[in-house]
Formats: sequence, structure tokens, C-alpha cells
Amino acid sequence: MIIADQISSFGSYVKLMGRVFTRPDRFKLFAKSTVREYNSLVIDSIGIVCIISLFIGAVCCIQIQSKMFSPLLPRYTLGYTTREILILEFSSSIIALILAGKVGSNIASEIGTMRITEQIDALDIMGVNSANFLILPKIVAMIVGMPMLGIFSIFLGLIGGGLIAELFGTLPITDYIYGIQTSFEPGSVWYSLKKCLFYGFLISSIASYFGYTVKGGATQVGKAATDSVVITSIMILLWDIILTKILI
Amino acid sequence: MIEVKDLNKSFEDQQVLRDVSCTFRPGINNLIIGQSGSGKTVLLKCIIGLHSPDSGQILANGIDITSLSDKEMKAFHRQVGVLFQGSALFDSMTVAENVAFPLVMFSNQTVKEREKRVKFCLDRVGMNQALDKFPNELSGGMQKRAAIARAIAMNPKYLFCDEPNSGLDPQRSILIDQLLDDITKEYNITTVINTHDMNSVLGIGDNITFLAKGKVEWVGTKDEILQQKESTTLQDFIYASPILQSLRPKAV
Repeated sequence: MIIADQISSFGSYVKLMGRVFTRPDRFKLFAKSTVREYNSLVIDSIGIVCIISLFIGAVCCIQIQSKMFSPLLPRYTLGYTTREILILEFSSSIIALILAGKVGSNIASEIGTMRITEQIDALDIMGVNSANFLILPKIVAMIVGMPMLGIFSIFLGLIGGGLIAELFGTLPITDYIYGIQTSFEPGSVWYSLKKCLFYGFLISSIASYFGYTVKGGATQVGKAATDSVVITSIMILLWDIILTKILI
Repeated sequence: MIEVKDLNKSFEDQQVLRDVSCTFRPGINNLIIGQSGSGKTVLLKCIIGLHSPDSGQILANGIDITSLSDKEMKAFHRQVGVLFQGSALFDSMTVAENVAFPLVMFSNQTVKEREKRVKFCLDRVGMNQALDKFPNELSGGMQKRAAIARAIAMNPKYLFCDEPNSGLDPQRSILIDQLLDDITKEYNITTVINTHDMNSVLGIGDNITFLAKGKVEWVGTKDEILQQKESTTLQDFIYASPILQSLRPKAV
């Protein structure tokens, strides 16, 4: 029964995406909405991404330093390892999980409220493709914005690690920077950005689906927002494995 | 003109509409009345295409809208204005942007022409002072008036109103009724109003269809409704208010 429900939900999700990915009725209006969504979903998330990245970068640095007992390990390993953690996993997958909570619940509750207050019905009655009009700008904004947030996160994480190394006097900053540059492969940044692109789509489309299909009242909107966060998080973790296997 | 013929609609195993047939003519106020749960909103949603009926026909000027393709349905919707129960104004837009929205989407008007039309529509409903306000800054009555302005922006042939007076005080209700009546007659629109407000029924009910348990039980006008004795269910509905109970015709 549960499996049948899941398959049916996946079918409705695919059907909804079919309605979303059509040509917008008015391109100018679509561009305006996309810029507005970019501001509210991406720009407004820079703060939280920066704070979390700065602290996690710092914590990574402390943790690695505390585990480096062998005198055979060069000191710059600290910078090298912090960079690898940030680029390969933290700045894409963990930031995506955080944004699934912040942005995903925002999208689901906004669209869900529009559904229960008949605003989506009003759009449909006017002859507007409501799915395309409401969801496509959010998806485009998140696909474009997530890699940018990923880059911010990598930089801020590295700065956080550097600050801690310098403040605690565990490693001279020049060694830390040397570690960051050691064996650097630009391909790993591209890998991270590709994951960000995909997560941007997952977060916005799954949250939009939950909001768009809300039935009932305020309680159901709240439930849809929570469900969207849970399902998006699971999907991010699942696709993290799949993408890592494909892209590495 | 809209003709509904033998319409049936059910949700899972509950039949909501049973062989509903009725006619809504242009230039008059067509009211659908009935108790809560009688099928009024479902009937209205079937007519505007938000629900697809199980069987039956809905003819809009002779064209069966139940068999329209998506593209044809979109074209039909552009001739339709809808006033939802909760107004359904877009809360991220100002009143002026709400009214301009259908014009931006579907007309090729210049910005100046659009502004002129928006001002005209808002002036028509007495809302010119609230151009730049957001829906959450308006009272219930003002939201309804702004929603009417948006509904008439595209010069619709059909205007559908779901409980236009819900949540309004009696004085505001009368104003909204008067406004709908004026607009209907001025522009010769086929207006269909879903209501259970007896003030509306007696005030603007030019053509009243009474629904009970998903069936059409009585059709008549505001002048006939108080005299009718055929339907006791309708009598119970009309004279539910203690003020009106003394006017109830005695059973023969």
C-alpha cells in the first residue's frame, strides 16, 4: 500500500514537472519572477551559508589537527584535508541539506498557502499554466544559485579553517595555504558544482510538488512543508551516493 | 448563456450532483442557492472547469465545455471572470498589479492602456484609493471589490461568484450585491452567484436555482420564492431565520 502510494506520488511529481517545463506564457514576466525568486531563495540564504561554512571549516580544522599524531604527516596536511572535505562533501551535500530545510519549507509553505487560498485556482481559471508560472522561476533560480552558494561555502569554510589555525597557533597560515594548494584538482570543484546544480533542482522541485498538491487547510500546509524537508533530505543523500559513483 | 444538462458528479462513492439541469442567462443575476453541502460549489467548479463532471453537458453559448481540449479550455477561461470565496488576490502583488495581471498575461495593451483599464476597473468598484496597497492591508469587503475589479478587467462574458458575501457584514454584503447587479446589467454578463445569503436572494435574485442534496429542487425568481409552496426543503431554508419565520406561508 505504502509502495503503491509512493509510486503514485512519483507519477504525479513527473506529471507536474511535465507541466512546469513548458514555454512560459510571457517571457518578460518569467524573467522578472526568476530574479525575484533568486533574491528571496538564493541571496537571502548567503548569510546562513556563510556562517555555517565558516564554523564548519573551523571545526574541521580543529578536529583534523587533534587527530594528527604521526610526526611523519606533513603539517600542511591540515589545509589539504580541510579543503578536500569542504569541496567534496560539505559545500555541496551538507549545504544542500541545510537549504532543504530553509528554502524547501519556504517554497512548500508559500505554494501550499496559495493553493488553500484558491490563488492557484484563480491562475488556472485565468488560463495561466499555474505550475509553470509559479514553479519554473523557483527551479531556475535554485539551479543557477546553488553552485554560487557552493563556491561561497568552499571559500568561507577554508577561511574559517585558516582563521582557527592562525588563532590557535597550531599551524602557520603559509603552511595552511600551501596545504590548500597541494595536489589541487580543479575537477573536484566541477564535481562539487555539478552536485550543487542537481541539488538545486531537487530542493526546489520536490518542495514545489508538496506545496502544489496540498489539500485542506493550514495544518496540511505545515505538514507539506515538513514532508518536503524530509523527502528532499532523503533524496539528497540518495543522489549523493549515485552522483558520487557516476562523477568520480 | 450557460445551459447545464443532466450533470452528475461524484467523489469516490459519494454522489454530489444528480442529474442537475439549469439555465443561466446573460444580463441577469443567476443565483444558485442551497444549504451547505448541497453541491453549489461543486456545480460552480464544474461549470468553470475546475472539476470534470462524470456525465452530462455544460453548454456555454451552445459549445459543450466538458469536451473542450486544453487549448480550447484556456480560450474559454479568458472569457471568464471568477470571484472566489476568499477573494484569492495574489498576496505578493498590489491591488493595481492584481487587476493588471490578466491584462499583462493575455492582452497586447501598452503600459498606458493597461494603467487606464486598471484605473477604470478599480474606479468602477470604488477602489481607486487602494491602488498601491497589498491585499493584507485591505478589509474583507475591499478585498472582494478588488477581486471583482480583477474579474472584470478582461471584459468577461461570464462572471462566477462563489459566496461573494461570506465574511462580510450585512451592509457590505448589500454593497457587493449591488455592485455585481450593476456590472451584470451594464455589460450584459452571464453572472452566476453561489450564495446562501437570503438578503442576496431577495435583493438580486433574478433567476434562482435551489439545490438540495445535489438535485435541482426549485427554479424561480425573487418575487416567486416567498410564495412558493412546492418545496418544503426550500421553505425550511428560506425561513430558517427567526425574523422571517413569521412570514412563512401556512401549510394547506
